[in-house]
Amino acid sequence: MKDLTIHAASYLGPEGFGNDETGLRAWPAPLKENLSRGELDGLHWSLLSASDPSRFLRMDLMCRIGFMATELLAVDFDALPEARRESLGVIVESFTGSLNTDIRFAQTPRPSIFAYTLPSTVIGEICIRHRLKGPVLSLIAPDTDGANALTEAAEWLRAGDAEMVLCLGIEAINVSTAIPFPCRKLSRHTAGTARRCCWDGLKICPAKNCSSPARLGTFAESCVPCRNTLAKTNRGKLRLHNTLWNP
Amino acid sequence: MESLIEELKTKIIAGFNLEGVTPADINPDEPIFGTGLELDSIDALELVAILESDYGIVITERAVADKAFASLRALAEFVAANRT
Repeated sequence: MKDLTIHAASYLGPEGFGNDETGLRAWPAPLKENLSRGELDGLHWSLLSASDPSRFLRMDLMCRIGFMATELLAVDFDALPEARRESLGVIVESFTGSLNTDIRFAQTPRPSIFAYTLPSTVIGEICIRHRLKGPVLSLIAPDTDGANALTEAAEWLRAGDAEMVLCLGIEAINVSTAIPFPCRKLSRHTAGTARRCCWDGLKICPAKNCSSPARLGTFAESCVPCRNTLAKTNRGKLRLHNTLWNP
Repeated sequence: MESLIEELKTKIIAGFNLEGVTPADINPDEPIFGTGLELDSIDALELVAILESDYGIVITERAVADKAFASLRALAEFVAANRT
């Protein structure tokens, strides 16, 4: 069996960006205050790519993050032969999936938002951009370090299902900030508790003495039992901790 | 008619999430689809939704859509003639 090699690794987060060659670099301060979401993301994209940002700016947050993370890997996809592109797989692992956009769609049900209410949409966008035709997989997992994606990718390589696999760990919602605070009793939650709550699909807020009902239905909804509280009360806090990613 | 064209431009920019595009960037006499705006089938759905929600117009036939979506000016004329 051939050795499995990690070709490149990149990092993209609220505090900075970089790859295994450049190391972590802090995002530069915005050139002016009160930049809109689009202006700020356009600025970030311009740091990572010289390509036209119009398509990028039409995407939801998860796709934007996936695009930027892929750009940071500095893989010259254009130089790859067609045969390699057809066996280049993509795995995206996420904890919150498309929850960010699901909530937007629930608030504003429009076709342009609906297209992004799948955690796999980012894979399609990446494959279109780089003309990749290999196997793809979208994983929803309680771990946020992308380990499951790497494990699955290794299996693909061993089995000969792919020659190269692009692995991404993406969160459009800052898990450490958003998930621990599903209701007003913020201090009672920990990240671990919240993750277990989400993974077990509890239908009620786990905070002590809190019986706020969850909205029944999707996994995403059961992830955040007091969704209305999250959306209204914690919006400022979320933005404070997650200024890079929250729309 | 010109004010309706400007109104439609604003709705399209907002509805299609065309960040960085201004109304002046949209030529009302060019085809809405297949030009520099790089719109796709989802945008066509979005445009149909805008017509339904904002102007009470329901398009049920492809031929009607082809004619109405030929350009922004054609769309404005279609809206003016069919809005409820």
